[in-house]
Amino acid sequence: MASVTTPVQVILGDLGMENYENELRVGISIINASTVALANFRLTDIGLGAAKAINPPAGPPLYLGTLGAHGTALAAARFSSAGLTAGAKYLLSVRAVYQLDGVNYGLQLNKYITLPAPALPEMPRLRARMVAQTVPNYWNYTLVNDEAPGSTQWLASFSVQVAAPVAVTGTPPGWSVVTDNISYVLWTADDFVPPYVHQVQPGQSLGGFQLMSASTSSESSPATVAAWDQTIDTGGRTIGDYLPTPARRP
Amino acid sequence: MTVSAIKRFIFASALLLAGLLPAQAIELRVTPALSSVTLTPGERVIVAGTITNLTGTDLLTNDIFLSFSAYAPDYLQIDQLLGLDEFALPDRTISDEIALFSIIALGAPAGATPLPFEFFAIDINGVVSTAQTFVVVIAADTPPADVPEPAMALLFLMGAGCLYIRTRQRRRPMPGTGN
Repeated sequence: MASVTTPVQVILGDLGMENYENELRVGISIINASTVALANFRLTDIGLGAAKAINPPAGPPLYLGTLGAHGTALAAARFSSAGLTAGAKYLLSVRAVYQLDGVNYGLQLNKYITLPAPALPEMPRLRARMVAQTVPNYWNYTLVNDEAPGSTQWLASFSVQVAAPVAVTGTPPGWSVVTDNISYVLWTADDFVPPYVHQVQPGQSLGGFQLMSASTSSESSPATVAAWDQTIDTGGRTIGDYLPTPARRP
Repeated sequence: MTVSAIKRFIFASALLLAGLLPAQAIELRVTPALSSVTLTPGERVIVAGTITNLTGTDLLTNDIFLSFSAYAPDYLQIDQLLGLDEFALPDRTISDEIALFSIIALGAPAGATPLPFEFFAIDINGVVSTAQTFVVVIAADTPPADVPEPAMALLFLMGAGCLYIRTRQRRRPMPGTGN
């Protein structure tokens, strides 16, 4: 049973925000100002007033490891800014769970933020999505290239971190996979010379990425899609997000 | 002693006193009206209290952020309410009693075990209040007292009515008996 044992002082630090194309991206820093390390620190919910949360996916916890004494953990969240007013204040609430002496405790942090006016992001973004679909013991992913027609950014690699033993049971034709079956999976298009027929062109999507695990529940893990720039024939833009992956053993 | 010398003496004395007087403490104080509450599963309570602003800066209610820790996440959900209604908290004032946070009892642990948690406030300038402990006791649902169902009550009334009619019929004089 939970009981207050050691004083824990955790706060939200400075937040980075981008309001662009009806989407608010918030970079969240969580500062442990106390003298105790918080083990198995995981975020269970990130909310912003009544804004619709886009990512991380609702439900699966996002593990951030051990939040050491005087340490900082970072996470990112995306919200729909539709219906929100630039200049108005909204309450950002972060819920987390941590362990002290093997016991789970809840943590709830709050900070009012002022919605910035829409502006171009500091770095050009890759317009792409990673869509996940889970059935018991299987995690399926689809890449969607949302770039404008004629864009030179074609999707060429997809990586996801995992924290449980996995088997790669699906790789699309023309792509190959590299994994250690325990911490990462990296799929890449096999094209080494133009015309890169297996890369995902603007307006197209590609499914068939699949993981299998003995785990039946999910956690949120970082994932990245990278594009290949067709004009300069080198690595292009990237985009990161959190995807549901097999949950680690408790 | 000339007037200017007296003025210099007074000025020097004032400076000396200012240096000797203690500096005003910077403090943000949250004073909830309750320090414990008993809930039943599913019940929500709003904890109100006052804010004392001695931070040296005028604040708004949404310049103050609450942090909650060490609570039982399977049984409690806590939400900040402070600041949802924005109003001024001038320096060196105490607010009226206002909603600080809410607690929802998600379920009941075995027995009426106290579920303590800690909270503190921090303002936009980094002034932190003293951490405080709040205790929640979640009592298991008590079954309602036995109350006859409407259909049972109706049957009871019908039975009583029949008995009354039979009693009246027995008391009515039989024709030809003279009674």
